[in-house]
Amino acid sequence: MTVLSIAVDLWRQAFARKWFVVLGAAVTLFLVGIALTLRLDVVDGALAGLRLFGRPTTVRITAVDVALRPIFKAGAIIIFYPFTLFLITLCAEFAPSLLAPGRIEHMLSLPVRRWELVLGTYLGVVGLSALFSLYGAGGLCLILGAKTGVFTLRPVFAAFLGTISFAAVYSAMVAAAVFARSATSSAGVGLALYFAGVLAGYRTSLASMISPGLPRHAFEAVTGLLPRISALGNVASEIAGGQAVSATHVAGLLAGFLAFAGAVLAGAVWGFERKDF
Amino acid sequence: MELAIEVKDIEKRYRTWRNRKGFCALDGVTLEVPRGVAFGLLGPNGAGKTTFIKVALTVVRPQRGRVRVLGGDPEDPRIRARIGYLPERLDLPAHFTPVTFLSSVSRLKRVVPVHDGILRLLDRVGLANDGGRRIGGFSKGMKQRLGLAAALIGQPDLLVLDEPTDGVDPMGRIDIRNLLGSELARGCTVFLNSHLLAETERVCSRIGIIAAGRIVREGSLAGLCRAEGRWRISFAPGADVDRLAAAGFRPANKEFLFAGDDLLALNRALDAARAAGAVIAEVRPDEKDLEQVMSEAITPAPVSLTSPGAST
Amino acid sequence: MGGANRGSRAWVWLAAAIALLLGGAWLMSRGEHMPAPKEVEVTMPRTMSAADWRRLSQRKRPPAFVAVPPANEDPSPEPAPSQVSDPLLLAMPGAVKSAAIVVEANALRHSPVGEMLLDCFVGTAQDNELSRLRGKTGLNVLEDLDRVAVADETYLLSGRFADTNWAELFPGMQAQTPSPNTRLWKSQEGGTSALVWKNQIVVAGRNESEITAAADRLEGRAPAIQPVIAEKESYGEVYGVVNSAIVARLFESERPDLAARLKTITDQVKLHVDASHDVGIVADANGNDPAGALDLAKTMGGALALGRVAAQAKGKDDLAAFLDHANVRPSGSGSFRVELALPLDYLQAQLKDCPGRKTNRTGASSSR
Repeated sequence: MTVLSIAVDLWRQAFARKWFVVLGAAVTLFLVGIALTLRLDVVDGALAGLRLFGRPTTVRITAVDVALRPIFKAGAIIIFYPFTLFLITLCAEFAPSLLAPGRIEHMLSLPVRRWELVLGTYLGVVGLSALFSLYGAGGLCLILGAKTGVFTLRPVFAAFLGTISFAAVYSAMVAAAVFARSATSSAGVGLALYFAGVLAGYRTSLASMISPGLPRHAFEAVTGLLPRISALGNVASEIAGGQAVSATHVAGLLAGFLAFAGAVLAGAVWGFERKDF
Repeated sequence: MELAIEVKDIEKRYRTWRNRKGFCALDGVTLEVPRGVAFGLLGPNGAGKTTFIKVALTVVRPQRGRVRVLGGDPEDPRIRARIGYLPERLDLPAHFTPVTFLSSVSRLKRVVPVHDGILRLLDRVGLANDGGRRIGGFSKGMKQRLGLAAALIGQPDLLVLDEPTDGVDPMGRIDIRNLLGSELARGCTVFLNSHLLAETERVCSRIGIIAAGRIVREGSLAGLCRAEGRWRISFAPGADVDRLAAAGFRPANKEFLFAGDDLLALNRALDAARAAGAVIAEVRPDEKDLEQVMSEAITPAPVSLTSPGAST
Repeated sequence: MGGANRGSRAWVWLAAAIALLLGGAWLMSRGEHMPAPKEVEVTMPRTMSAADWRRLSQRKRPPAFVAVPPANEDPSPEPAPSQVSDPLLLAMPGAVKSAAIVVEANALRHSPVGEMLLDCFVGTAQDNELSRLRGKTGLNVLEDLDRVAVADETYLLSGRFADTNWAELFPGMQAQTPSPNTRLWKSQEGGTSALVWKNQIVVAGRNESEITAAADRLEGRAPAIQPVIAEKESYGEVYGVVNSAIVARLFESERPDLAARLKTITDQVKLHVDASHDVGIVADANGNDPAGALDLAKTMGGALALGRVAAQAKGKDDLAAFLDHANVRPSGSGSFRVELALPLDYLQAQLKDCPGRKTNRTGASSSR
């Protein structure tokens, strides 16, 4: 319950800050814009025509859910890549602000365990990212579903995978905040892990380009520990696009990401428990 | 005697990776603070006052020693729920209102936030009209008041206040002193760090003086301030100053000071004064102010003038 | 002492961190070496590719005479009919009533779908028949044939026929040699004729005038005509033109309304099939009614979508996967294009019980 209280307080802080409200308004504006300006001509379950801002666009007439696949795939890619980068910079401040002098002493004097502080902050921020991602993806599904009669949760699931990806990255940002108490360091670590995770998703093919022996083994060892962000992004894109994916592969990735996040958070708590403020 | 704070032989060093030996902030500190008193911890800058509080509240971890607060382990959330703490530098969430902030602290203290109760608390600290304003627009004094309100949530058994009136206007200080008085009357223990000696004298009944990480004086305020072997005497106007001086009375403003080994010496001197025609108006033991006490504790004084205050 | 407790607790967190990190690495690595789900690899034959142009240029024959266009003639990317180089296309008539289709037999034989189809014939009566034909006439259908075409009731072959015993192939027919490059076989009762040109092209059918006209075009004696299949339309493993009425018959029983509109709005359908990987089919329906064509395109798209939904509802996942790639693209000028894809998996499922495969499973073998 204490963890939830901390998370909810973080949400209150976020929504008290203008830029989160602006972000929500931007996503809402985008969805409303799509709803009002996009006209879809559906004939017997096929997308037969499309008008954007009143301008007709030539489309391939195909089954609606097939026609929507590229849109959903694009949405998944947007959530996984630019939106996650945006969240990294937007959320870098939360953990360091909790650990700021004058704030952390007060928090530690309350009946809150240190790991609850770390976990509550983490869950609050990850919850925020889930809220915006799922809001955007869910809104898009609802709007396109209302216009076409085809309702699917695939993009929402892809957005969920995007949240898991951000969750792995943010665990490292929290750890950086614990050790460095700096929003810049936190954001830097997040961006570094993000790009390293993108590379890690292609580690098998990249390893073949590295000289055999110690360099390749070192590369494989390091990237083996990292979350495969691009691999999960590809899975999200495939799911959003209605392609078949291997359930074992997805489950392994998800569990691995959550284990990575748990590991880094545990490391953060270890550092936090030993730290003086 | 039930103790609110009990620390024994605490050593705290702040080490960095460059300086492995570190800086010793607390060097074998032992202190007991009884329940229900107002205790003031005094000392120069860097003496270890704030570190002591942080050790007691487990904000920092000592290398050695034992800490018990309210009879239990301060790591225990149930013990911490009974403590109210106002840090020296309080960083409040700027985008919250006082009501939101106090509701948040209530939840974390496992106290159900009641809106009316929060408003009453704000009224007690003088922020009744500012409950809906953003904290970011508050002055330093207003933030201190709000921090004090947060410390009071849940009617704590121990209030730990580090410079509680820092930035507060004089009238506000009076309000805070009255507030602390009412908490003491409720049975709460107040532990106070303050540079304002006058304020400490007004609020606290027990004092500890810390210097260079060690407790150098500790005891009741009255006991520490009493000057052993010195008395102040008021004579009626018209007394012969020379004959009083010969008896051992030295003028001090409108009074006279007498320094003697014991009461017998005082009585002999008084007899001599009466014999010289002086009329005794008042005799009382001489007292030092807190500044003198601190000064003597931290900087050893010349032997001839004073004798060190004794612990009681 | 609380601090000591916290110190020992901290190490538990570190141990948990290490364990979770290693466990996470193992979990994420599990799926790394799994084969990715097979994706449908379809090349839609929409225009001449570089490979198609290369193939065309390899078939070029020098024209019998060089026609010099007048100086004021507007240069056109379309080669003048007298300069059409592909002998098979040149031999085809200029217009057909029902259909003109060319099958790139050699290319198809070496494609994945071709291999599948061949597997179906191994050990069957048809396979035995082909073996007997080879033994009797020297014609190895699977190796010597390059293309097979049909234009209404005229049949055309191209390939290497130098070793073919024509007398055995056309038993009872009389041969004539109207030119050094040409031999003409006629049946004694009349009716069927066959032309063999340079042991590369065979044209056969019941219409003798059509066959002799084909010979004239090949020899350069006939006036220029635009072939029914233009050279720039000779892409894919199967290509040609089909009368809309014939296409309409394919779905007349299920959708008579659609069939009727297709016959009314469009004249002919140009067909192309690419079988280099999964099979892609492109059909361009041409007509002169833009609004009608657009409306028909939408209806066809809807019909395909409904068919897909019905297949999904009935659990026919392979058919649904086939219709996944179906789409209709209106051009806005009275024509529209229908694209379909046949995944190899779908074809394999359809052919799994063909006679050849059954024979293969029981151990029969055949040499090719």
